[in-house]
Amino acid sequence: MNAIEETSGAERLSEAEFSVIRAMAGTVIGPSLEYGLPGADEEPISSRIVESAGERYGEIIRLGIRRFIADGGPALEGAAADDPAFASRLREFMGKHPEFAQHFLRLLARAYYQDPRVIVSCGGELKAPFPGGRVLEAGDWSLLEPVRDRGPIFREVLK
Amino acid sequence: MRADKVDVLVVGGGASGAAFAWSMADTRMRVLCLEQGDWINQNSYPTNGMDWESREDFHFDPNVRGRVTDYPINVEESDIRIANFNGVGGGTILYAGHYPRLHPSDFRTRTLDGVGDDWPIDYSTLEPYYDEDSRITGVAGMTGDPAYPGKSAEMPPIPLGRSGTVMANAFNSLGWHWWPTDCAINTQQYEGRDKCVNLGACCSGCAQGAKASTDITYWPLALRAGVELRTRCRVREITVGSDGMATGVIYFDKDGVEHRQEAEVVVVACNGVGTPRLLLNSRSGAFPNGLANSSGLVGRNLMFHPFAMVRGLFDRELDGPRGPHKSISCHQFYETDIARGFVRGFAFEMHRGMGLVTTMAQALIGGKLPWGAAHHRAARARIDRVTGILAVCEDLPELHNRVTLDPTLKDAHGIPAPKIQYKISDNSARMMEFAVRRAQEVLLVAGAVETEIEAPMRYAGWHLLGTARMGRDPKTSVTNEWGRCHDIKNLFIVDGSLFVTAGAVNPTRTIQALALYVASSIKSRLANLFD
Repeated sequence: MNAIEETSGAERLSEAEFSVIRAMAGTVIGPSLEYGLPGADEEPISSRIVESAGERYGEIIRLGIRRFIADGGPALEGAAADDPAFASRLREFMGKHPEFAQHFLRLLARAYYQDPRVIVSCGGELKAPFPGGRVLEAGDWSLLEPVRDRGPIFREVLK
Repeated sequence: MRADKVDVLVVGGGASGAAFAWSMADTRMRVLCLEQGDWINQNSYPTNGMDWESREDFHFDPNVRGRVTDYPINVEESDIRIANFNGVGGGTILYAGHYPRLHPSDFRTRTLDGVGDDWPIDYSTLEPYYDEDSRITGVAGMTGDPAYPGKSAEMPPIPLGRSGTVMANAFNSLGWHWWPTDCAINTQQYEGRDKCVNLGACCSGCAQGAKASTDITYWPLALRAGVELRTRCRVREITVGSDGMATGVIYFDKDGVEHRQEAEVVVVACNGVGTPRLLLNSRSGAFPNGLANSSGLVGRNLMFHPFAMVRGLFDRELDGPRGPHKSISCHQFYETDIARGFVRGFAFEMHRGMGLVTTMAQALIGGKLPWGAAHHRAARARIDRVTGILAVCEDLPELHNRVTLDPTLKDAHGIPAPKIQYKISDNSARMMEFAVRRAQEVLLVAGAVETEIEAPMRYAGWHLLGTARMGRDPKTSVTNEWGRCHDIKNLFIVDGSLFVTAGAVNPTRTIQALALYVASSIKSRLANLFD
């Protein structure tokens, strides 16, 4: 089942709408030759954006995409992620629709930064935090000496 | 269906309900607690999986979380959204484990600063109960904090880490107070629970069991002592007899079947939103404005601690998500100084960084990352390099900040949902503005190359206080000075609703101490409890 079919709710994204989501994702996070990473418009990342929207955010995303297309007209269909005009229009749209922007960007971050290639590239490990845990440096408590030396700072309260 | 009458019925198995039930167990009375949520299996917490940052089933906003055990809350007229959790352990399942006490001055704001109201009790009243709760909970900290009268801790403090070291040096440069914060997190094995392994996701449940949530602290002890706890029991209303005394409750079990449970004493422990909701939903001919509400104050004086977060981006690696969120606090600006332009004050909590996904999401939403290929280098400059200062601002009790019943919104059982009306006051706004400037100041001294402000934090209604306040005068309070409702002599409240003022620190420790104090007060008056 692909991302379009996975989208929850009675309505599904059309191919054209999904291509706009891909273009949005790739515009915000493009590919990197330096780090050898894909853009966010590549599969399976772009499908993950839509899949993870689920019922809770699916409607917001769907409405946002359709409004974006309605504002931009036919020129937006088939737009590429590296199109400066598309990027400009997307920035303007996100400025005017902050709720859509927040949800889309959060879903984008989840989809991209949970991709195994990206995690490893960023120095992470492909495992859950528990049970291994993490190491934290103890620190030097002698840094408290100046605080102690200044004495009490709470307000005395007489009965 | 009607069940056998019990001696003490506690509604709510969270922070206060657990502490109260445990304390009452030594009376050998029949104590029953009804909790609308479930026991939470530690294997279900997000840090058991790689998708831990994306999981929303442990989100602190019930309107986002949407579990079957949640109820909706109307927050359309509130500057701040509610955070809670329904389950055994209540809000302690998701709290950060930051565990400070109130200051002595917090109990005397009217006398000292001419604002708010004085509590009918003081710091010395609660001191033995703070100590008792500390032994059960297990507190990591350090003696000698100049911001408090003498107090001890069971375990060494949470490690400073790189974030704490950088910020400690900055506080020292400015000559400001700071101290390792009291935390309800094991830094060594304590009472059969293992030590923290720095998962860094305290606020979505501790898979290690090192954070002291009451499902693993008080509840095992209470159950062994004979307290009965029934889960998935949602109380619809408290029932009252013709003599004006509480007779018990009506509740729904997990199959939606209605039950009537009778009790000699009813104790409400449903937090500062759930408690007024239950009392208001318990209206009757004798109590048309809701139970225990002759003062008109049930639901009023809601306090939240408006929060502000200032994040600093550093050019070197700090802790990222490693370690508990909290490690050090600053109470430099806690007490009133009129010269600052507001009354009362705030506390700073240093907040370590977040995981990879959350760091990037925050940066994208905040417009901190360029688009396109340039995203990547800028993104890497933020990994494990963000540390924040959280300002906990004291808000004062105001009648218009309140919990009422929504006229149309209902939960899955058809029980009217709460509606929140809350406006950040001018005093709180001035305080927050000052706090943000100080937070920026200390972060820049610490070496931050840029700061980002989130003020007020909307998703920050973690502390639910004041909505059934204690006091000596029935006209200006809902309960007396030991939690007994003025109007109904066998009805008690033990949660944060009792707070008269909020202080500027996390309330859970005081809530649990208050619950122990109310229990102790009841036990010392059993012969004439209803006089």
